[in-house]
Amino acid sequence: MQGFVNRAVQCFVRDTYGWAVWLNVVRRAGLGFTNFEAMLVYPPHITENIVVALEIEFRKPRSIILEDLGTYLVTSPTTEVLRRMLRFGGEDFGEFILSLDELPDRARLALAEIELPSIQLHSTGAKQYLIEIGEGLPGFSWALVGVLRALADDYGALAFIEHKAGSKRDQISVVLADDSFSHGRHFELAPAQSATG
Amino acid sequence: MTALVTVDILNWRRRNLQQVDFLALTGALDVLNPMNVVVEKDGTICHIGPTAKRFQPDIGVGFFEAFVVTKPSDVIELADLHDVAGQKLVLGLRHSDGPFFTGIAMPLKERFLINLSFGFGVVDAVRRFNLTASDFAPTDQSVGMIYLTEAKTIAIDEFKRLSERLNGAKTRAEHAAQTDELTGLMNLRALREELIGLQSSGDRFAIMTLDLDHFKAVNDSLGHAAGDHVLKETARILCEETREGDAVARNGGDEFTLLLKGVQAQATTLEIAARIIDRIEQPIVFEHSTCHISASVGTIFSNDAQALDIEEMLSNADKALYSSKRAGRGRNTIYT
Repeated sequence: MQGFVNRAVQCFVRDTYGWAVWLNVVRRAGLGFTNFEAMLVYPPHITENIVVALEIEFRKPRSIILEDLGTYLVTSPTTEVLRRMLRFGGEDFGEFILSLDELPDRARLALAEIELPSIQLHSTGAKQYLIEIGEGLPGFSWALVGVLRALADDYGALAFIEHKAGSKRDQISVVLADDSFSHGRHFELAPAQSATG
Repeated sequence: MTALVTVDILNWRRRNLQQVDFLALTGALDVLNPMNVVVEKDGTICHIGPTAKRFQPDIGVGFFEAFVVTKPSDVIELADLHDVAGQKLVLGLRHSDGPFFTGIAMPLKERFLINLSFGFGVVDAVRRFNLTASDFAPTDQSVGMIYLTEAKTIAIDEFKRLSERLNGAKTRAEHAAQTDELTGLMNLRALREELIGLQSSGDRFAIMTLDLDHFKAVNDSLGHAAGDHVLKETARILCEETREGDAVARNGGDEFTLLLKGVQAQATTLEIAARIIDRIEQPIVFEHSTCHISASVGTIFSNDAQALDIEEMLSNADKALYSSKRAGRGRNTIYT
């Protein structure tokens, strides 16, 4: 699991800010190597060291950095496979939100090592939801805010997504204003070319 | 007159009710399984679900004109469907290669209801008929199967790339572990492995150990860069004066070991050593200086070794080498 997270952060910093900046982060975090492998196992404190290094490097709080990471994961060509996996969650953004509590199980089905925090979905009104995030992956809720905002665009939906800190568990509120606000990006169940590679 | 009209209206109402029933039935069927086919008692298709329409758009044609039941193989007409009602069927399209369907047929009054699904060919079928998630009922696991296929392909590809990278790193590490970085020759460890291989093959060979004379003076007076240059030149000469299959190693410092395969005549080793010493004694130019060195050599033959222990052979070759040093350098001594 940690391999995926660290690798995702590496790709995000490299693609967004360049390799030199990533090398700075690596040095600050005292890694001793420059390249993460998604499929390898790393101790959890390495991820924390990197996040701290990112905060110093960019002079931004982790909430903003992790949200940018979430946006990157959905919008970058590097991580197109992840966007595809997410889009299997529903035909439109409303359906996707309704299936959000299945996300940890869907991820585990893809690869048993992936252990996402639990996600609980509460309906708070017409097309209004409160998402509660369980423990296990600090900062996950901030990244999820970025993922959800980018996915709303991807589906062509208009939605208001806010992080709600302060309570015992991290929460995200979603208000779905318009499910077909714009055209969004195309999604095929089985693309003709092996775009999956 | 009135009675006839009444009967007509009753008939009309009955037909109308039948029509309403049928619409309600197919409406529900299309939601429960969009890949349904309804067959009339005369064998013609009277209804096709929205997803099934993608590969069988026409109603009114005979069911067995459009579809072939491949398993069980003896289902060739409508009457046969009664015998396999409720059983698993495998079907194909009569006028097209693939896809294959898993199906199940049940009689309902005089009609037949047939449910179809894509089997393991679901990914190809989705691609071919351009299907989306809404073409499948939410209870149908086809979309989940496509998701899993794609997810597993990504995971396996990632593992393949990882093992390729690790394999490359392993090859580089092995090469580095066997090579002397400065000269590119093999190191003593690699030479030992070569020796073990030779010993087990039983082939005869000679080991020649060589130590540069006056090398310390070059290092001290002209610096390490000059020393490194002399070592590289020596490595080049040793490679040129040996054959392809022989092994040349740098033991470390200014000491080298040669493994001459199939050589058992003293005269041959004397000649090789003399040529090497002669070439090493030629002045070596480095930047604006000239280095003068020589080499002392000790030789041992595999058939001379009483104990075929590798370490003992190497140490005996060393003894012969130091005899050369003591005898005035720039010469070869054969261990006896």
